[in-house]
Amino acid sequence: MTLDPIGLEVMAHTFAGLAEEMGAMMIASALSPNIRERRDLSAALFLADGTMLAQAAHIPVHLGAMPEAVNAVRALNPEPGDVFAINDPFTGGTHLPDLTLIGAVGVHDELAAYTVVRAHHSDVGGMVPGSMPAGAREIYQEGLIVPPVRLVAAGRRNDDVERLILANVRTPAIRRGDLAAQLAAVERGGVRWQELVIRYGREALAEAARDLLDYTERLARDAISRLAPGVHRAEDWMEGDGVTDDELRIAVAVRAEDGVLHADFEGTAAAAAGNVNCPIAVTHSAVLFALRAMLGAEAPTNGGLRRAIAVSAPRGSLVNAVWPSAVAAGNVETSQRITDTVFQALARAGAMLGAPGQGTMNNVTLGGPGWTYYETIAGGQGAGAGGPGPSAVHVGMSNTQNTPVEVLELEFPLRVRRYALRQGSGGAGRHRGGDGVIRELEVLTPAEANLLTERRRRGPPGLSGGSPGASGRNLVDGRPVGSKLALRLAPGQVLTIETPGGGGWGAAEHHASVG
Amino acid sequence: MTRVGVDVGGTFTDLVAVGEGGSLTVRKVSSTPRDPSVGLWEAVDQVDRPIDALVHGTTLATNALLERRGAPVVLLATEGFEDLLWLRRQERVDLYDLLRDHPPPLVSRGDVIGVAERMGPTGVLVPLTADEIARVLQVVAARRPPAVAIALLFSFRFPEHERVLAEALRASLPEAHVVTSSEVAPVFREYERTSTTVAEASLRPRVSAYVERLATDAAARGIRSVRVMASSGGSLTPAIAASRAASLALSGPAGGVVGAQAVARQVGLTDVLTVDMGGTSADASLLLGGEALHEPWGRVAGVPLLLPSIVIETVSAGGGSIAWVDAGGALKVGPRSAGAEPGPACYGRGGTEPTVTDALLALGWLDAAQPLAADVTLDVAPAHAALEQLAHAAGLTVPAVAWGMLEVAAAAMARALKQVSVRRGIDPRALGLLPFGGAGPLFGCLLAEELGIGTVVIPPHPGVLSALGLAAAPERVDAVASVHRPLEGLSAEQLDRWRDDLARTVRSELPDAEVQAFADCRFSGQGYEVMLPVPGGPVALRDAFITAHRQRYGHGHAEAQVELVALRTVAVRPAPALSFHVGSGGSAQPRAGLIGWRGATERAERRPLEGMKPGTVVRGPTVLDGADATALVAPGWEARVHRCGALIVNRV
Repeated sequence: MTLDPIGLEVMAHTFAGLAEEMGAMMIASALSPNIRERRDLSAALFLADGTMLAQAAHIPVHLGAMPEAVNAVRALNPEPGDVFAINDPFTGGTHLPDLTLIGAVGVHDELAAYTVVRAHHSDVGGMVPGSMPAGAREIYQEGLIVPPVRLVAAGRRNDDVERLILANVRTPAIRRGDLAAQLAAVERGGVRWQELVIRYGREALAEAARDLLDYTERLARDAISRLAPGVHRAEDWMEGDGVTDDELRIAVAVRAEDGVLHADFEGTAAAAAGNVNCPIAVTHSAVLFALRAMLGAEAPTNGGLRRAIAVSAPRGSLVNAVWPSAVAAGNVETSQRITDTVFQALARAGAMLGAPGQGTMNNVTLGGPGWTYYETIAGGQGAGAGGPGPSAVHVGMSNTQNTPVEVLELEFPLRVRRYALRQGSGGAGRHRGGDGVIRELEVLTPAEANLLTERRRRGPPGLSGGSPGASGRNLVDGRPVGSKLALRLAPGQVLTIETPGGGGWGAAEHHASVG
Repeated sequence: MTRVGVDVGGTFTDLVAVGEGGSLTVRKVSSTPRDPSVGLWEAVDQVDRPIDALVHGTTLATNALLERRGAPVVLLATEGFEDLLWLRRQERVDLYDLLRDHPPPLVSRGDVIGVAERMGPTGVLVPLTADEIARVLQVVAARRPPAVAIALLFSFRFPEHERVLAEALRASLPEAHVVTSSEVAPVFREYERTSTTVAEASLRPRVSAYVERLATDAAARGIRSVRVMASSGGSLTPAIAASRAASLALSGPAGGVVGAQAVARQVGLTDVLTVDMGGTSADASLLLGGEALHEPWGRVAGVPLLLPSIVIETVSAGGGSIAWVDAGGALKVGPRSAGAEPGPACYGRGGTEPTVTDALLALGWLDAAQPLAADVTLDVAPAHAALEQLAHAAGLTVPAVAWGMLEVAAAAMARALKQVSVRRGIDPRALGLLPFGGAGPLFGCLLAEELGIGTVVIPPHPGVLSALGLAAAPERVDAVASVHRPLEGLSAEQLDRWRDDLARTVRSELPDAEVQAFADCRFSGQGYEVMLPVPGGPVALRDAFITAHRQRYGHGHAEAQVELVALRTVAVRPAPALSFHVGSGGSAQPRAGLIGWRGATERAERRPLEGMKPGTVVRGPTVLDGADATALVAPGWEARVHRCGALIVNRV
């Protein structure tokens, strides 16, 4: 190791700052409310060998999946000045709306780093506005598939690719604006890397990167080595796949061995007919997230974490789906359940992680001619030994903001009738789970609605004697409807989403009802 | 002609009086937290009268926000949207620390009253009836609140319902402070607007009583003009401050930036990073073209405030910040602080954990023979004991770990300085650095080396620069109007008319002021605006916006539609120019000493910071001990005393 403890801290700030600047730039200048208001994006910096050096703290589900995307680009022998676009879930994407731009950064004509911004574009074509269809059976229904292709080749814009993308989406003007902001952010990241090379020199920078990754790996291994020995199992279920209502099992066995966290998903259901399937990259993300959450707020987030996990899952299963499975909901819903399952197994191994939170992102997509609105809605966080679960927050693999009511009504033919805390929905316990949220939307013009939600049958379980949180509900004009469905709404119809509360922790002080 | 600035902080109340011809008088007394005005007048009464102007920086609003100790507020919200402050923007505080929750809102949920009314993007959706007004009045009256906040949906565009409710409340509850969101922050995004309105209502009873008494007490002493510093870096009359309580949220730090601005002007620098290092934190800010960088909104103590503020980035790196080693073996400094009690180990008041001040003492940057401000004496033994434990945990020697703490603290401050510069596309290497606060000038050269900066300016009396800034502060009033119209369809006459209306508003509060107009513009469909001066008509504004956007965000379609979101006017009446100089008293003989620097021990001089003749050259390494601060001219650096008393430190 060449960096001392001080150097580590200095360089961690430097690399994280570069990623943060890219993310902030895109938020400030993007057009779609999903990116500019909800911040549904992540920015990261990679070394030339494909190792992630820093990720800005945006969306955890992107954490594990971005390296796959960078590797897919590396396989194409990129040249300095290239910028690739990619969304193919089977070559490093997550689901199709997550369109990723990857810039190959050159220093003295040699490839030195990759700057990456992944953003959820709220329409990439396919069978429904918003490209988050309930009931899709194969990926072709979910939108345009973009394998790694050059948007910029050696510094020169290739407008053909952008034109092809724009011809396949419902809101091309907004997509064009978002892509411009995304490209500018990726390129600014590249300039910043070149400035770092000038300042520190290539060798020193490479050494610093190596040391920082080693340091993060040490933190991870230290946390893993404190887990109880043995195999710790947990299972949980998905409530249907949008095609059938059959429950789908997710099973995991975790064990700590030589400082590596092994997560084996043997026993998990086979890939489903609907679109709750996950490419293995998403499963990686969920395990990495659980590990990262064990390290506390201050640790860096980089490829050092990845060295301390080993994930295995049966090929063709729900959590290691293969082409041409549909995957739109895997990234946003199944990823949450994988996280819950891994958390529950780790809790059995003694990790200080709380009860499961709402375990869903409550995906609501509405659209009609010329507009698409995509939103995910917060809910209750699970409680833990350290205290109650926060209310009205995104849990697990997401951390997007809301679309303000005023923005929503200025931009879309929608009216918000009610936006409230769902009082009492958090699970009881010594520490209560956080409360969910109620959001009530009236459509003003005919609209297609797609719901991808979970925890509608059973609420998130409690931990250590705590009670489960309340399950969520979806209603149309006050009548309950399913958890994953596509419907047409007429003007005046009201869609109500009530999101789940978080699980409670510990037996409640008062006498608990037995039953 | 004496101008006095008084900065009331948590521990000390600092005063700087600028007399006829620019002579400076400095006073430092203990603060009196129960009634801050006691300490304030104790300091002021030590200054010879007559006093022409008194400018006050106060932590009253800041602390009320931090401690959630403002007045109880009743909030009137659109029915169905009573929970907005608890829903926030729905993100969690920390991505990975899952139980960490947001600080609670300033109002309790039981005090939110839903009003049956609704404005939409094009006007009334649900009318506000007389019956409903009567019902609301009754419910509010039953609670006898000291303050009422009214924040209804779409009031930034249609304020009528808010106005009607406010009028009715003011008529029936004359003793309550009634605040509407359309008066305080008429801009879109309901959560942030509601938050700002509630903050104003919560702070107003206390702040208005305080500033009104300030005015009375000042008048009784024959002080001609008294003003209060706002987060914007401009000062307000007590009458105006009484109705803009939330704009005092960063009163204290803003004074420091204005002080830095005054000194930068004296020494002829326009583009300068500033850093104020205090006991628990450091505040970074930026001057560009001689002006402090402003933003139309910010966040104080977890409370979003849609009010113009000097850009201030705070990091928990202060003299009292505690160092520790994490599980992966990295040395960390802060965020925990030893505070004033027990204080750093070297204060000898029972502190046992190693702080930045202990490291400074161990490396000889601070001297046990030299008491700090207000007679705090330093003791080497407890500092060494605290550092020894840390050194053991880090596997380093005591000098190495002490040096490491300084580097980590410097890295944190450097990150804050980059946040205000690099993040905005501004290269710090082209800037000067002005460190102040008690320990800031010790870190100047270290930070400059970290950021590639060539010139460090150590101001006169760096420990009380905020008070100096207050004495030098201009008077300033801000106004904003929400527009939300495409620039392309706008006539020059319409733009002029709006601008003139706004200018009249601010001029009525500040006659004879210089008024500047700014526009918040964005490409249609964007969510955030670029604020820029209005260069002329709509066409020129459009061009200026596109240029600014390209520069900042790297793209911008020349043919895209540009929206004018809001117009702002700022009225500024500058304070009379200060041309202060410090007395060139005796030049005491330098003493020899040793300091630790980058792992080596260097022979350094020690001499008094004050009293050096203009033109004096000081070669590094030299430690300069002042009455209220300590400065270091590092090895490889050389300082020259400017005629205003500042030290200009350059690389040799």
